[in-house]
Amino acid sequence: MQQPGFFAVVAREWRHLLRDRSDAFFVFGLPLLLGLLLVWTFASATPRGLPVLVLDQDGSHESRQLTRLIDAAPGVSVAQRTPIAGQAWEALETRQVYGVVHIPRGFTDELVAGRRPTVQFQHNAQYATHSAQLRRDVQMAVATFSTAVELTAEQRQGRPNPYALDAAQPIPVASETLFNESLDYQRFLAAALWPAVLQMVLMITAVAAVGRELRDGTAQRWLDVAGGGVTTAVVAKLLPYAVFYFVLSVGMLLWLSLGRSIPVAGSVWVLVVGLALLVAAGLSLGLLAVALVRNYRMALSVTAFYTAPAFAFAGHAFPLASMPVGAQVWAALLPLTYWLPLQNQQWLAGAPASYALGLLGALALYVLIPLVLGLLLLRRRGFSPEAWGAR
Amino acid sequence: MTVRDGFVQTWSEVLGDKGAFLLLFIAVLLYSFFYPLPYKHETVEQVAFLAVDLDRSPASRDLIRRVNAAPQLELQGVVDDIRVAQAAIWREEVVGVLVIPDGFNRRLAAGEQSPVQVSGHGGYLLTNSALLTETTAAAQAMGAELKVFRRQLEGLPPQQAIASPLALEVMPLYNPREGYGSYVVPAVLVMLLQQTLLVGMALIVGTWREEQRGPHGRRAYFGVFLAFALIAFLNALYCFGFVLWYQDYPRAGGLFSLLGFSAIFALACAAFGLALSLLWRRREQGLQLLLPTAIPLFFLSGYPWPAEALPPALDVLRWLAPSTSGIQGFIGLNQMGVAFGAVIRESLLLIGITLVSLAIVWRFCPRTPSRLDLPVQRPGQGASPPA
Repeated sequence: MQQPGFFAVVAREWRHLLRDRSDAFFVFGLPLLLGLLLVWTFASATPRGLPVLVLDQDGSHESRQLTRLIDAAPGVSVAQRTPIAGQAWEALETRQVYGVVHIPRGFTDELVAGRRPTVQFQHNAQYATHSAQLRRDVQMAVATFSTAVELTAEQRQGRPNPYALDAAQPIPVASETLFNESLDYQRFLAAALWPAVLQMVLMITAVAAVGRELRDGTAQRWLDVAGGGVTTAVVAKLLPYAVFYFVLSVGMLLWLSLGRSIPVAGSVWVLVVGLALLVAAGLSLGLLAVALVRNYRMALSVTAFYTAPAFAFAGHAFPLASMPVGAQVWAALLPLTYWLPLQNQQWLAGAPASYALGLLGALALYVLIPLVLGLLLLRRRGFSPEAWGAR
Repeated sequence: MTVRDGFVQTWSEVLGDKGAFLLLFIAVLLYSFFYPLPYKHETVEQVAFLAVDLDRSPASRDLIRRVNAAPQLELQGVVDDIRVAQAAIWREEVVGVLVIPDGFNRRLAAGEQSPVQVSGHGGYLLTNSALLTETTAAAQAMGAELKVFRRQLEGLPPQQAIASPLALEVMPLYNPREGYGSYVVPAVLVMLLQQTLLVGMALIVGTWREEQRGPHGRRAYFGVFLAFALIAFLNALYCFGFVLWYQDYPRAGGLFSLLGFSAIFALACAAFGLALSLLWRRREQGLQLLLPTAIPLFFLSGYPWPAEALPPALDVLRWLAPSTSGIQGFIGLNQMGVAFGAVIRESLLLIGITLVSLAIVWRFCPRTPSRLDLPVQRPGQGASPPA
């Protein structure tokens, strides 16, 4: 038999994974599959336009022209054009379309007479992501149409008008990032969701690796193989996992930045160090969870409660500043809350590395504090037989 | 064993198993208060932005004043150095910047187009769009006034001196306040119902497998299916009856449509979970698989992320999970208030999932408590080397 110590524990864990295919799958296969699934979900190079319906009660050359302009907008496709209001409602309610552009009867007459007709755009605001995209594109299409009408009217009046186009939109608003990139940030969702999923996998892995020993009553043997030191036993068990998830995360970073062309504007090294801390923090928190409740199943439930809503609280989808204080406090307890700004700042915004120090420090605390607490708790109570076997 | 045996045994197991009870009843209760918490205020407020005024003219000040009048935005200051603004974004003190270039006033006076620029922190979609929307509205209003003024100067009669030849009226339907919680939480609840049920089922069935006991035979398994379906149904009623009302989210559903669709969804989840449970060998495995899959499944439902943007293969595969039809159907019924006829497609898909899953269970479910159709691994078996 091998000399007790660090490598003996590593070898023991490895033998377990070779024997237990389902544990090996949860540890290695599942995160790999989930990473691929996320990349695939947000991979579509050319998203199809979101379907809208044009309720055209005017049926004129002008209304058809407006319809064509809307259909030509990048994020919209006119799925149906009908003069019947009932059909429009049905398409909305069955969610075949997410919006209805209503061109009223007499639209052209009023347009020609200069009476400023109103086009209505009703959108399904319950589908917020869809709505935002549609509203932007429909507004743009209507503005283009409006400019074209103005131009022809002004030219018809015979005015020499070199600035006709300019006059139509005196103050256009350009939307750019300060960081001279023009990429579709929605694609960046894959990069933002992966750490949220990774946190769950990390905590589960640590809970499973330690919880298994408690459940099966093999904790003492584990400790013996380690040569009696709790720290050696824990670190030797978790370090190989940490290396695997770190390599996986760096792989994800490389794939998204090089393969899917979301270039890293800031420091790659800060991101790599941050990923190492994020991985370590997840494993540390898993260790703390299982050391705290000393029950495999309960520790998994704790993990679920802590990680499942984490993305909602981390301030990426909905800003922290708009949350009530209670939610902000909970957010402060999640490593994700520090990782996501770091990722934004270094990956997208190209901040100098020095801006990341505070966030890296916070992540380091989420490695150290749970690790130390977890080790202390485990040393104190984890290896007493009455703590074992609880399900 | 009879259907009744399976049903009764399942319920007594669920009520007697702390872990299962926690997942199947307490978790839904807990999450239903916890999940909506970040979105309590519903809309993005106090979006901090900086103005970079390189023109320092009355017109530029007028525009800044107009943008700042938007209730959602909060002006943190006016600077004349773009680098100051950039550093503020890096420190996340502000999420966006309004840049008014030098010559803004002069170009306006000359009748030229005079563009301004909004730069947001790319990572935050909601705050970006709030800043962009409000700035665009302010710039358009200011531009329109300017045009009317100019045309009056040109001698057009006031009624013809209009800013643009047509108006666009945008009307948000179903979620008129456009609240973020109203948008995301009702869908998360569906996800929550499905995942807690599947995990709870895995816990119970996994335990039976470990201990080589529990219901066996097709009839008993039908009872197990009905027992879990009832649990899912009760949780659905709690979520869509109480939580939506308590959180004051849009809810317009007819009672009978809601009951009917809840039943269809509960049956589909229970059947799907039972088919999945044929894989489980241990009590804890369900959580290990199902916790990290929740986020990808949610984004595949076609709700938080448009299905039109999914690769074609995923657009088809996503319907295999009950949550996809469930989210679409419940949003339709509860938030949009459509009639049952508008969720027929989702209902049929859920019934299809139910039937296929039950067929799988019918074929593979254990016939005796000791001899199972699939190999069983005891807990701890193989977990430790022979010392």
